[in-house]
Amino acid sequence: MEESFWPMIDDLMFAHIMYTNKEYLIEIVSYITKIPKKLLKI
Amino acid sequence: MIYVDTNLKEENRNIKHQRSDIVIKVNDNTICNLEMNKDYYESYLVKNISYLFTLHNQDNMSGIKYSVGDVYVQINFDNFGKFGHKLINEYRLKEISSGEDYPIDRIKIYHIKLDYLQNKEYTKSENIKFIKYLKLMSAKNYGEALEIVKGGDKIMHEVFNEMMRYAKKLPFGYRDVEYEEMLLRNTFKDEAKKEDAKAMLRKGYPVEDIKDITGLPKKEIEKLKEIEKE
Repeated sequence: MEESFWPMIDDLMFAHIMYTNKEYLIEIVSYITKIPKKLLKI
Repeated sequence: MIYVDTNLKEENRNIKHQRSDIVIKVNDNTICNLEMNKDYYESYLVKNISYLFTLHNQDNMSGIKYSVGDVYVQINFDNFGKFGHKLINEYRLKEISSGEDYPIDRIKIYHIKLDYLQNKEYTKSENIKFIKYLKLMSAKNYGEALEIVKGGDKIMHEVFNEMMRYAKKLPFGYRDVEYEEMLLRNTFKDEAKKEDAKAMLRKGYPVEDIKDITGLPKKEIEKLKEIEKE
């Protein structure tokens, strides 16, 4: 795999990743804001 | 938690190119706005804050009612080293001389300094997952991302695959077989190298020689040496 395939993340890609990977979003938001994961998963 | 439509109402669309990156609503009263800031430009802070206050002022977006008790959280992921002195920087309104908090905590702003991850070693076990998640977001090339995701959890692998799919404009659900095979090959290759290094350590080879022969990093060999001693 060539390195050039790797995308530098921009806002559109960021939004796409966060929409398609809810668990990833939950882990990150919970760690930063200290909102319990349980609340975010509802 | 639900995802909220990030488009502002018609009358507010002159703000922040009409939309944010991600807005989620947690519980009944917390709105989180997440922004990826790839490049620094002077007005980005004003634009992001304007968006947050517009959310606050907008009483109805996509059918969701906002009320007086709502908390508004903005998380900025900054992929440049402009300001902030640690990984997670939290900003609030304060009285200048006493440092007393302004008596509202409804607006919370975080700046995540992604470039901070490049030079810092993180050893606290409770942080490792979070650090790896953020590092994946700021990886500079394929090799770096692969290194981060190796030994990562299912969520990281899914994000990695999604990033590849996105970059190559491949349909959702596509699996990068080439990547998965490479990951397996690399994992096995590393395991084999470690076994070789352990055998050499038992025979008393110097660390420098093992490094030259196996190609493993010195730190890794020293870790193995400690394990062998135990």
